[in-house]
Formats: sequence, C-alpha cells, structure tokens
Amino acid sequence: MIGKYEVSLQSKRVSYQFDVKRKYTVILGDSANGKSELCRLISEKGCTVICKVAITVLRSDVNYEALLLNSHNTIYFVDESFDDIATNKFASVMKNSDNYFVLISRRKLSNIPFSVEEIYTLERDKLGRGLGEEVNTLIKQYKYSANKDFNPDVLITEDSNSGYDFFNACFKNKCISARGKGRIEDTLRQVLRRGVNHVYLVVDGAAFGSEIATIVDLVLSYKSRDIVVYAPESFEYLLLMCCNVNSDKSVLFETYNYCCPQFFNKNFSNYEYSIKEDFESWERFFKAYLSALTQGDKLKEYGKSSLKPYYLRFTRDIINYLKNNF
Amino acid sequence: MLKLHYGELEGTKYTGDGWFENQLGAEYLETNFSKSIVEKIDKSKVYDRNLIISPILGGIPPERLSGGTKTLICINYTDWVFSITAMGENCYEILAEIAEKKDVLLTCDRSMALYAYGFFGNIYVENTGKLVNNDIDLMEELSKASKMSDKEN
Repeated sequence: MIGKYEVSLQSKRVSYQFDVKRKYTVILGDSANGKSELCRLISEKGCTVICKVAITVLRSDVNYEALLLNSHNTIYFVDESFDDIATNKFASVMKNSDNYFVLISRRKLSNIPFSVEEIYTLERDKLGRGLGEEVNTLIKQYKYSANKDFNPDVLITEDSNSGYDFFNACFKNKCISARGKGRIEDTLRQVLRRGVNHVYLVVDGAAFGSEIATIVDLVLSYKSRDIVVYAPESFEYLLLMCCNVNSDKSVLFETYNYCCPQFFNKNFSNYEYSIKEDFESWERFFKAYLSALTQGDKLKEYGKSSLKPYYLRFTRDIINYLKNNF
Repeated sequence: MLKLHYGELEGTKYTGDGWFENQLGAEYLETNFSKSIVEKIDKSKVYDRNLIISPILGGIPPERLSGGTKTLICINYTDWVFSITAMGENCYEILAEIAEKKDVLLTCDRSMALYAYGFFGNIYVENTGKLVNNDIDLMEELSKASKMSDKEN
C-alpha cells in the first residue's frame, strides 16, 4: 500500500482531520488529549468517516495475523490497549501486511521502523468554540528549528559507513560513529560524561522513531549543553537532495507515491537488485533510489560501504541543507 | 516513594482502562483527590460516580475518562503495578504527589526523564538499587538497568 490519505471523522461534538502517508504513524502525547476518543469515534456507529480507503480499529480479540495478511488498502488504528502492540510477532505481521497502521501508544516500539517525521500529538483547534466545533488535528511531536551555527565539538553519526565517511571528512577528529541507532543513546551519554559542550547528532530519521524520545529526554536532562539532533530521512536522502545525481525532486517530496516496486520496474529496468515489495521504511527506498540512479556511473556510483570522493564536493550544500531544514 | 523497575514484571498493567471500570469501581471517583485528578488531567468535573461533565464531550460515563486519569486513580487506591507509559507527561506531577504519600511501583521500557516534566521527590531504581533525584542520574541508572536486563535475557 502506498499513497497519502486524508482522514476526516465528524461527530456532533468533536471531529478529527489529518493525513496518513506512511506505513507507520505514531500518535502519543499527554493524557486526555483525544487519543482514545479518536478510536472510539472510528469504532462507533453514527460518526461520519471520509477517507478514500477503509479505516478501522484493530481489536485485541481477533486473529490479527489472518486479518492483516488477508486485507489490503486499509488504515488500521491500534491503541494502547491492544495487548501485542509492542511484540516482535505483531511487528512481523505488520511488516508483511499490505496496510497502513496508526499506532496510538507511548510504549517503546523498538521493533517497528517508524519515522521521526510521523510521530504526532493531537492538537485541538483553538478556534473551536463550544460543543460541536472542536476540530482535532495531528501536529508533529518533534519540531525542527534552524541552527545558524554548525560547529560541533563532537559529531555523532548513526551510520558507520558512507555517512560516517562523509562527516568524518568534514569534521576531522571530531566525528564518532555510534554504529547503529540502538547505540546512539550510549554514545551520546559517553560524550556528555566527558563534559563536551557542543554535541551534534546525525541520525536516519526515517527509522529513528523508537529512539527519539530518549534522546530528547537526554537533551532536556543536560539543559546547559548545546546538543543538536539532525534527523534527515537518511544520509542517502541528503545526497539525493544536495548532490547532482539527477534525482526527481517530486519523488523526494512525495515519496509516499513512489516507494513501491512498480516505480523501479518502470524507471530502472536494469537495476541490479530485484525489488518485490513496497518499502516498509523510506530509508531503504532512498538507498535503492540513489543506488539505481548512479548504477554504472564510475564517478557517482553509490555503495553503502564506501563513499565516492565525488560526493565530498557537496559538503557545503549538505551542511547548509542540514542547518536550514532539520 | 516512586520505585521504577526497568523491564517486564509479571502482572503489570499497561493501562488503567478496564481495570478502573471493572475492578476498582466508580465509587473511588467521588473522593476529593480523584475529583482533583479529573479536573487537572481531563479538565472535567465529577458530577457523581456515574457522570462526568466534560467541556468538550458533554455528559460522559466514567469509562470515557482518559487512560492517564484512570491509571492515577488506580495507583492511588491500589498496589497494582502499572507501566509508566500508561500515563502522559502531564500526569507526572500528580504521580509525584501520590508517591509522597505511599510507595508506588511502576515499570518502564526505556531510559527516560521525569523531573523535566514536573515530577519531584526521590525515585528508587529497583534494578540497580540506587536512589536518584534528578534526570541525569535517573537516565544513567535506567540505562544501566537496561543493560542488566539485556544480559539476563
């Protein structure tokens, strides 16, 4: 399932309007901000539902494995009371299911590759006055602000290969690889223990959703330090955006319409890797897209394990892009 | 005092939903402390044990209170063990008030800050046996606890 879907739920007292555009969307936030009410409205009769695809709440008492593997083009809402929400089994079933999932939970969903960009909280429209005029929308839980300086004492990359090579070339002797998203927290903590003041992190936002809450809590704990988290979709996304590799910007801005095998079959029939399924996480899509675009080009050919010197020509563009966008 | 345990504990409840309605009973709504929780978290008024007046939803039954409110009331009147993820950050100040009066054991599944969101008082991290009173130490101890938990598994 690919695409972007507008969801509108309307009842006499409260309504919800938002878009769902990736396989996984996570809603969290304060108690009593309307999360349970959202699921209740979807489940109950009498609520006006407008969406191009089916939307439904996944109940704990159904055989979800059979249901999810045999249904298609449906947005499933899964709330905190769904017993298996944080289990490996449920993650595996979702991975193999051709549906979208809106997960309403504060639990650490470390086995689900969801994006920092798709973590939301609910906000009531402040223009609403009285009953029947309350409109709830999704707003991003983690907001970005431009950082004028880019002068780290230490820069930590999630990546140990191309991404690390690139930033290490930019910031010699200041770059550390955490070697994976699960080790970012420990690496950051070790650096902070050393008393380092300006610590920057570059992580692959497309699959970093399960880790970001802890990193933000560490930032809040060390208030006096200058800790900046950059979460572009992935390192390959930065290269696609900033380097001259003939990427189609509409593919990058509307990835939800392209992250499927049909896109590669149509545009890259000679691509050396076979893509058989829609992409669970966009991180993998961007890697495949960059790899397909540069395949056979001796100057630009992209391989994860080593970075062609060509890309280092664009260091200023990439740093500026990070400063202004993440 | 709040006692935090990193990882699973048998019998942990992940939300107060269901437990509040089916096991505790709505009569616990009628205490002044429960009424103040409903006002602070749900911004609603307890009319009686069967009716809540919400400024948004109108008259609602207690089942439609937020999961955070139900969990806080359960924590206050029982010794059930909940996951801290059952509550939003706006519940942490009230959680601290409860933990001032009695011992409260909760589980958690990640290294997290609490003081930044309004918690106060000491926290005992059960896995490491350390007492903490700030987020840096809390996150450090929970991180150690997570490694101990990984080794055990």
